[in-house]
Amino acid sequence: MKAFSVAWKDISIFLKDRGSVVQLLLLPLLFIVVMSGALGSIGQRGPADTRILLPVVDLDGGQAAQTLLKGLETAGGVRLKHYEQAEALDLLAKAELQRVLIIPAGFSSGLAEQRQSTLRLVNQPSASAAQTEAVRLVIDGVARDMALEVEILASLEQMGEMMADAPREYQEALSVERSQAQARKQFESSRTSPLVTVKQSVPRKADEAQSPEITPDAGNLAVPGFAVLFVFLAAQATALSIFAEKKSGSFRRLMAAPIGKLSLLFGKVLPNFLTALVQMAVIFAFGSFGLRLLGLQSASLGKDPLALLLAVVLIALCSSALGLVIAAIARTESQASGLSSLMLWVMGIVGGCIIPLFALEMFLGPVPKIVPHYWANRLLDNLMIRGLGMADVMTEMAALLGFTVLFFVIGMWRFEFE
Amino acid sequence: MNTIRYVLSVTWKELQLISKDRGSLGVLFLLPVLMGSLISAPNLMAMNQAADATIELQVALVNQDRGVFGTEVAKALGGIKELKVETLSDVAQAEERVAKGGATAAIVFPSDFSQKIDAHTPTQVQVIVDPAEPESSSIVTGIMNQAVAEVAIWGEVQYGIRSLLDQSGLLAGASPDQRRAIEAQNLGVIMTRLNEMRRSPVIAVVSEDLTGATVEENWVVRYLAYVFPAFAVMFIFFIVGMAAASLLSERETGVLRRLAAAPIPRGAVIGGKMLAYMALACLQTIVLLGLARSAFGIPLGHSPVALVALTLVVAFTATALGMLVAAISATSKQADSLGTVLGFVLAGIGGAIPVNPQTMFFRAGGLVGLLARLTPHGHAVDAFNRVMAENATFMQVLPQIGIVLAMGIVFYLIALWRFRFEG
Repeated sequence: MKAFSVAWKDISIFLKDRGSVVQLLLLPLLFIVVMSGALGSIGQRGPADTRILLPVVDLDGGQAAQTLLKGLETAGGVRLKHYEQAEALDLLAKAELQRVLIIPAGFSSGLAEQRQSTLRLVNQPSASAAQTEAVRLVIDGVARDMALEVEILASLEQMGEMMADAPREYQEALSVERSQAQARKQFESSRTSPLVTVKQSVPRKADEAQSPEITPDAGNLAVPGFAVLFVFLAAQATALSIFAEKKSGSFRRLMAAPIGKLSLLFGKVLPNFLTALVQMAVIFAFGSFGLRLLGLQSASLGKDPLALLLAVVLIALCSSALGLVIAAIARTESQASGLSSLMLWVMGIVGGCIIPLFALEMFLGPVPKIVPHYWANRLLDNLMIRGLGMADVMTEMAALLGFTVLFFVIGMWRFEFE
Repeated sequence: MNTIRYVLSVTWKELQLISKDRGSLGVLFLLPVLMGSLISAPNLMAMNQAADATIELQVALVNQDRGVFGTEVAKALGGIKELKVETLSDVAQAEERVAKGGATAAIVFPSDFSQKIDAHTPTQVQVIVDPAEPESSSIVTGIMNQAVAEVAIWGEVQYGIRSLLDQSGLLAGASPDQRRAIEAQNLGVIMTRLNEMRRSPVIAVVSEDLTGATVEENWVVRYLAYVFPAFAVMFIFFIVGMAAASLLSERETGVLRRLAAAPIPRGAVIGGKMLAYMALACLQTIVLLGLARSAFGIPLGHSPVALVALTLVVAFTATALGMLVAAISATSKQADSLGTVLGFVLAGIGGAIPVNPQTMFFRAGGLVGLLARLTPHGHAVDAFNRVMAENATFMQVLPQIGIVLAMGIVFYLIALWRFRFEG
């Protein structure tokens, strides 16, 4: 009961510190909005058009140029807009356009004669390099397909020439005209019905007959990632609260009061635990409803609410235990605030809260596994994104529980009440 | 002359205090260095070692096809360095492996894959990807798209030859072996010719700049020339809370009152504090951009003058914002919290949280671009990036420098008007 009084007092102090409330509850939402790309959809009516604008100057105007432009439209990723050459170059020079695709005069006739033609993508120096690369890849892909058709026709022509010495019936059967006509017929049919395609899907759940064709959304990963990062950042609050009480002498006064040491510590750690629970509730609610309001795919909370609840409690406990360790080890205010903040951010980054784990493991190897954030991220990813159940996340839960026990033991062992 | 001496005295005292706060120094210097390094290293490794790929994605392969196409593609996948292929016999087992995060993707060739290609009937390769690894999944799907494109060409040409021969009736009395031999002979000739031609495609795509010079686009380096200045700007603005809290804690402990009673101009006290934090901000930028250049080979552009001017202006504006926060906060704790929140919010809106190239909001149009350009961060990171990645000159980034400076002056004037030496 006394522990609850201590906890209630700390919660009252925390609630009065609006800055901390904003930091712990609203900053994660800001990060999720920035990282999930939601910022891009603000202020847009209807579904966001994420295609990159590709201004086009068609100096050719022929059939092949039309095929190219149709191919670019169909390929997706770019939005075409036609300009006259002078106007486009003028806008480009003024940085009002980022890039222009110039189809040269004689493009169609050149292709018909199998002469090499060059498509020029002229870029403003300030253009986003990543977008330029994306646009170039789209143009490359469509141009490669068009070139392939020309090259196949040319190969057939060459084969026809090689058959000059073949028996007449063979020459007739595989004549250039016949084989090219057959090829053209196949080009047409392959546009609407390609011979081999790749179907991307995600693993099906127990109640699904087929693997659903869903493109994984990086935005959804931001929700569990930032939930973990900010819940563990809250660990610092416990350390700072204890440090402030020690500094002002109120901790010593509490020691003189009829309250056990364990109750006292429990009372100091409990607010952090409750804050972590509230943080995750706010973040998950935002992921489920807020992202949808911003026109994005909402984050899934998975298929096993009980497992998710247990995961949330475990992560909050682990964060609270880590707070106790920081409080026990920090000797100065600087250590309790700045250094612990540094440590918690580094642990979050290494644990895959911001950078994808596969990228981190490329050069850090198994290092991420030594921080609880790694296991917390895996736990939430497995439950929320992969849609797994309790039985599938036992390893992650055990690892987090292990970290929690370890932190509590170290915290209790090293904590100096005086 | 005396005023300058007073300013420098206050600056020196403040720098001594800052140097003792190792926690904050860690946040201001080590954190951006670590974050910049952790984001840069995988990108550079992927770029520099493309030939000797360090990305190794676990892939479960289920080849139910016993024909030549499935076998050949499966063999080709085994030779791709980016993939660590484990062959499984059961689709459900492969799917479960992906579902539990044990593999990035499962690739499934249907049992009639070769048969359908031979019969020129559309077929599909299924790639089941891990929803928790979208980046890795897109790599595997990209590789598979390329692989099946080659198979499709082969299948189309084969079908074309067969159709022509069938139409001619030449092989009416031929045995299946003879048919296959004649088809294979023609297919071999065409594919050899085709592959020779594809080495020099009839349509070339060049990416060039306004002068017509080919842009050797290295977007990784350009992205990293955004990452480091963005982190520099983001963490410079973390000084806001620190400077404000420092000023207010002096007011809370009565130091400011004592200083006000001393024969030191009040402006010298504020100026001295601002100078100390400006020096700290400049040092942050030097450390971060120095690391970018020395450890990661990121270009710093051709205009040191522009870099110096930008650094000074950003440092001034961050410090002036710190004074403004001090002026509107009641306590040092409130100022610290407000400074931290402002640091994150302005960085987020201004595009100074560079987790991916899409966060360059200052280059975006619409409301997002407008919001970014309302923050000093947006203009500052844009200008740094132009100087470093695009070799912009001092004159070319002068408008951005001017805007950031103007914002700083506005912050400073409001702070002067609102700040009370006695709380």
